[in-house]
Amino acid sequence: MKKYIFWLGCWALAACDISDNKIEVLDRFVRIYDNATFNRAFTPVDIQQTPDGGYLILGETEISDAVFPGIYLMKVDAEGNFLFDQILPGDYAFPVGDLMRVGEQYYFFCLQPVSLIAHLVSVDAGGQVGTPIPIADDEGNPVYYPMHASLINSNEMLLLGYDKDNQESVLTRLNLSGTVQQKRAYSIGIGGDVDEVEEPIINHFTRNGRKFPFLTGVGAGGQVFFNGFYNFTFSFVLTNLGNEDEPAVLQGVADGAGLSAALFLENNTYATARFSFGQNYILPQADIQVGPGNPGSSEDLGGNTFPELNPNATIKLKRLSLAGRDVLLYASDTRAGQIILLAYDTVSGQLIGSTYLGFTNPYEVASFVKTADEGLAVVGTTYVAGRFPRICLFKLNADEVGQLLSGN
Amino acid sequence: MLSTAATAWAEHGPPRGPKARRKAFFTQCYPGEEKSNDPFEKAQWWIGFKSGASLTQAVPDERYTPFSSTDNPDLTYYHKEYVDFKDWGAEAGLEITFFYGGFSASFQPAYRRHRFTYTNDYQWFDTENDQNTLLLRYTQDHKLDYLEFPLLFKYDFTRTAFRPSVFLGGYISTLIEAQKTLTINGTDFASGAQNEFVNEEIIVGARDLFIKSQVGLMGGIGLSYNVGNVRLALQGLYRYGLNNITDVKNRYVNNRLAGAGDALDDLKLRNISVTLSCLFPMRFLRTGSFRAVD
Repeated sequence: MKKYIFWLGCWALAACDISDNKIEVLDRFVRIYDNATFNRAFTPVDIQQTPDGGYLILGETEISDAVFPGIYLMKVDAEGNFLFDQILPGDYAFPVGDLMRVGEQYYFFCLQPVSLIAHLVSVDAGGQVGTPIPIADDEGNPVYYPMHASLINSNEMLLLGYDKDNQESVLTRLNLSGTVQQKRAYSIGIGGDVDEVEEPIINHFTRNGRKFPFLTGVGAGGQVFFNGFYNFTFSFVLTNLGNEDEPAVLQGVADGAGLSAALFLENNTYATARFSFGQNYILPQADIQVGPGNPGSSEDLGGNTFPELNPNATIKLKRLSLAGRDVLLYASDTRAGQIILLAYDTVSGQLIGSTYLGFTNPYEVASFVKTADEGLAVVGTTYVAGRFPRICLFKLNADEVGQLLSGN
Repeated sequence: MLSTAATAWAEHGPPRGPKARRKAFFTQCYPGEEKSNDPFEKAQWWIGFKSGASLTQAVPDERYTPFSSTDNPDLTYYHKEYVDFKDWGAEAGLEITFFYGGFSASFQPAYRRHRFTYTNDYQWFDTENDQNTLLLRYTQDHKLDYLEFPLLFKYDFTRTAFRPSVFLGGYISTLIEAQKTLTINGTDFASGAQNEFVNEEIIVGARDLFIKSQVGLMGGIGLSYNVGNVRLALQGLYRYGLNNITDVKNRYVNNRLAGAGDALDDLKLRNISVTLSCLFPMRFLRTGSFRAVD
């Protein structure tokens, strides 16, 4: 009798194991979007999930007729399978994040290589690209060199641009039609050695130098902020677009130190990350006490140093509701060639958990988005065979996100 | 032997008819072959150990890869090339066989290593400059260690010292350990000359990539030979795995492998093994000397 029980037990265990070995939907995967072209790089900028569960990825790739990277759009299905891509004509280049989703339309900014004017581009989930709209104020003054854009409500955006002629950072509030509603310029430097500032900016645009963490966003009391060059330094600038009041500035140190990520939480508290001459610091709750005539320094913020991150690493930061928790999720890339996700509790600022993505070949993060199935989609660059920059996509399902938030 | 037959003849008289005479002669010559109605003499337990070697084939069903080409619509480009029945694995275990009237039921728990390999070939090239070409071959060697619990039914064609037999049965296996070794070698034409290279092997534990259980059917042939009371048995078996051994939920969890562009296909295993067993009888007839029931 005992041997029958033993065999029945074995069969039952095996039957459970085997019958459980199936999935309804592939909600956890890694994809590398390869291309056999030897000398072409594909680098993502941002990602959004589309209503069909797939993903629209905005990226950049070299184009022959511009010194700026060309615009690359790719659509993949819910399981990450490549559906189609397109390289926009060289009339437009240098795609700028965020890739902003409003309903079923997606928006991003780019520049026209000849005029250097910022253009607003809309695209739908099917990859249909609208006619780019040049950005200019009501007096016809264009916005040049788009650096960063973000959605501040359901029909308004902030755009940070660079005015080369006047050596100014230009912050613009505009609607989805590209109509400028407010615009204000901030001097990068007057009377100083502006070449010292301009050179890294131009290198940023031509991808011949460091990619700077230009940012825009909303602060307290209707203020907006940008992270960019101001008064000779890479600075975090809190300002009102509706008046000419002196902005509140958290200065960096020339282009060697400053903020690499910033997100308003409440009052003077921001979730941030900062760089300082190659070092990286993460501050889930930074108290930024600055005001007009009372500038601060990013160097004074302190924070936890992360020596494992690449020097001046790309750091993406979003506030998300994951697994029922209010979470600050940081994504960056490590010296070991992996993408790291760090989750912090928004209220306490305590680290909840971390996880690493990718290995063997180097991986670098570009952006991430929360998915409809309570998972995460992380897009980045991997160097296939150690040398070919290609777009990669990590899809984490809700279980993996739960593990991240449980600290496992 | 002849004198024994003659003695029987003398005691009982000659058998009648040629068939009866042949049977009587054979019975006297091979006492073990004498059919008995005594249940004790029809049954035997054999217990021993066995070891051997095996070759495995991994049969892909649904194909998977982390790669998704943006310029090549041919999905088979990323399909793995499997190398069938090439890498030797090993097994060792016990054999417990119950024999009754020519039929046997045999339980043969064993530790078994399956080995199989597949390769992927990739190339990158420049249509304007032939020198800008890189060819890579990823070779993935798998070692899967299972604890196997087979139950076989065996039929002996004869009851002589040499016994050819056939087997049919099934097995349940549980995975103990799994390991993958990735070797990348290639030819780089872009570095000024044709540069052939081999990267350092990547060895990773792959236990999470496979489910714990495997079930299947098995059949084969055997030949046994009695040396005194000890039986030596040679078995050749073919195993036909019935289930997908890849853990579909964990297909992409290994950073090292997924990061290199590897994801397991849905796989079923086929296996050919040859083993040698040494078996000892558990039941004896008390004659002039102990003789195994057989």
